[in-house]
Formats: sequence, structure tokens, C-alpha cells
Amino acid sequence: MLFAGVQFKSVPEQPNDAALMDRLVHRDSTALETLYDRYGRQVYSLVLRILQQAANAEEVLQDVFLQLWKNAHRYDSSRGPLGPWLFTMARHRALDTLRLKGEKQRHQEGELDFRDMVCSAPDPETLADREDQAQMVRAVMTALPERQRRAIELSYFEGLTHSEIAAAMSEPLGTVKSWIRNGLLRLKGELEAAT
Amino acid sequence: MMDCAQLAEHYEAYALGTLEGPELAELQAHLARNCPVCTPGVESARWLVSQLAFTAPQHDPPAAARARLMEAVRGEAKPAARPSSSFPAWVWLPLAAALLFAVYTMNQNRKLEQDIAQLDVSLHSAEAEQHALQVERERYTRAMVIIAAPGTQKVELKSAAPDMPALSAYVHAKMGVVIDARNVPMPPAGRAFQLWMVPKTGKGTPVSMGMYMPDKGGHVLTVAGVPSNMADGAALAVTEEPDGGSTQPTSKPIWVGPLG
Repeated sequence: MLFAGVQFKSVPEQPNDAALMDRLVHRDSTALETLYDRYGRQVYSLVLRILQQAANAEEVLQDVFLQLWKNAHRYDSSRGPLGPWLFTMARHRALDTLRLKGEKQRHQEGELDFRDMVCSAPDPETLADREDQAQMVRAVMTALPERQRRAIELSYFEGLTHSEIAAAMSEPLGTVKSWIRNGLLRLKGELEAAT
Repeated sequence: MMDCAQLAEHYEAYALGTLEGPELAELQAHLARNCPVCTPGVESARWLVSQLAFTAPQHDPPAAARARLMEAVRGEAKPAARPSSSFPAWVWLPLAAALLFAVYTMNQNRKLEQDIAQLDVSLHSAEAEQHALQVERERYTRAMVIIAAPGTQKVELKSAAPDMPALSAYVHAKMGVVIDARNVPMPPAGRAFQLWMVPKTGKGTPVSMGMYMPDKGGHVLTVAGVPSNMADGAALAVTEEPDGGSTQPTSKPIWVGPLG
């Protein structure tokens, strides 16, 4: 019989991200406070890892949440969950700052196009499983061979292209491409298996 | 020219920003024309890449950062209250006049700020409406492409309740699933419908394929991505869940349809 053996569990009552974003559209600053408390630490940790400097990281953190406040109406919860959308925006902002600092901006940076932030999750994220998911991501990445993990970190946290990573690591381009893709596919497989 | 199947292996690199050369140009061209295969593929890869954020060492932001953010936002949304002052009795007349003028000016400013805030809200509403229309159009286009694609299988999801209409599901193994139905009643407040792929016995637990709600007229048209283990699917089912969604079904399915 369908659904036989499926465990039913209760879902705790708390405002979900979509409801908070709706309140943000209606200029409810308490909703922003809740979202900041929910995601501020992770966003700050990400941009600090990229920028390596607390003052710049705080500036980007502020900018990300102000963008969220100003552009709440552009977020469409049916296209994907908020957390990944915020992390994507934070990473773009931090890498832009890094490139400007290093005077090696690869292309003209204008205003962010929010369509480029849409992340569709395989499963709706809940508050309860976010921490489990974070731990699983850390575990998968830690289990990768060091140089493979380094290649992924160079792309994600330092914004290098395949060729730049190959040059930085003195490895063939094809090896770098395989390391990154296979590492991500392994992560995908583990995350999907857990849902 | 590369087709979608060839480009699929570059989705992760694109989402990371590491992709270069002709593959980048080809994929950008597909995305620019809202390719119904590459667009959801890249969105899914973007989600995967975003998970790498969790590998950053965890640090609490400075406590003052939160206060600064809220100050900036409150300053924009609601003007801060002005501090009041007290004056010695011997200067009350000129001060009273100055105070009256200040009150008048503050009232004018407040009115002006309220007008601006109202205009701002109207502008946001108009932009939101335009964006919603664009999203709706993209959804219809994706649905039509999937329904018309070779290999798409139609599945009827039936309900045990006699007053519930059947749902039509159009399943394409790679491009996604379209759910189309009319006269669907709204779920109770705080609840929404959640679509599941129910695997064959011994092949795991139900996999969520997303949430949906009927519109005011009871029409449902939703497009869901397919899980990677779709080949193991025995059926599609729909349950009623809290509007944030559930990781596993928490109620009995309202609609069920077998997968071929």
C-alpha cells in the first residue's frame, strides 16, 4: 500500500521564510530581524571566509540584508528556498568586493540580476533539517582528498576559473574540471540520499 | 552547437562561475532563451553550489551589525521619533514660537515622508505585480513545452473523496512534471498541497516534488522538477501539509496516480 511505513511527524509552528518575505514586502522590519537572526551568522561566516577581513565582511553582510529589504518583492518563494538565494547573493557580493580590492575584476559588475540567484532545491527546506544538512555538507567535503577539496574551495571561496585553478595548483585543466564536478556530484548524491 | 544533454555536465561549473570558453557561451545562449531543460538544471546546480557556504568556518557577526542594519531600515521605513526638550520659564515665549514652528515643520515632514512611503509601497506593488506576471508566463511556457515534448506520459491522479476532481500529471523523465487541474478546493489556512514521488517498495521514502496552491478560481498549474531517482517511482501522490512543506508526508494522500 502506498505510504505504508511512512513516519508521520509534527511540524513546529514558526513563521516560514515565504511568510517572512511577504511581511518584508509590506515593510515589516521585525520580519527582517527574524530573517537576520536565522541567516545572519551563516551569511557573515561565508563572506568572512571569502574576504578574510571582518570590517569588509560586516559591510557585505549589511549590504546583503539591505538588498533583501529593498528587493523583497523580487523574491519568488515558488522558484526556490530563501537560504540558498541569500548565500548566492552574499557570495557574489563578497567576490565582487574581493575582485575590486585586488583590481582584477574580470567583467563589468552592475546591479545584481536576481534571476541569477534562483536556486531550486530538490526538497523544501525546513528549519529543523538545515543544521543536519550543513553538517552533512561539511562531512562530505572533509572526506574528499585534500587537493580535490582545495580545487573546489578555490572556485567557491576565491572565485577562480578552471584555468586559474589549474595554473594555481599546477595541475592539468582536465584534472581540475573532473575534481570539481565529481566532488559536487558526490555532494549532490549524499544530499539527495538523505532526503 | 551543443544540445541540452551535452550542456548538462557543465551546470555545476556554470553555477560556480568557473565555466569558460565555448561551453559558457553556449549555456548562456540556452539560458537567455529560457531553455526549459537548462534553466531548471542550472537552478538546481546553483542550489547545490550554495550548500558549500556551510563549509565556511562559523563566526558570529559583531553584535552592533544587527543594530546598524535595523537602524538603517527603520530610518527608511519609519522616521525616528524626535527627542523632546524642556526650557526655562523666562524664555517660554520665543521658545514656544520656535516650538510651534518646529511642530508645524515636523508635521509637514512627517506627512511628506508618509506620502513618499505610500508611493514607495505602490511602486513595490506594481513591480511585484509585473514580476508575478513574468513568472506566471515562464511557468505556462515551461508547462506547455513539457506537455508537448516527445516521451511525456500522462498520469491521472484520482482522489478517494467523491467531490474532489482528478488531477492530470504530465511526466517527462528529464524535463519535469506538470500538474494541471480545475475546481480544486483551497486547503485550510496555513496548509498547502505537496506533491510526492512515491518509490517502489524497498526503494526509499517519498521524495518531495514541491508545494502548490490552487488559484482563486480553483485552477492548478504547477511545474515540478523530477528527482534523480524518478526511475524508481511507483506513483505520484499529493498530501495536505503545513504551508512551509514537510520533509515526509504527515497526512494521508488526497490524490494518487500510478507511474507507468
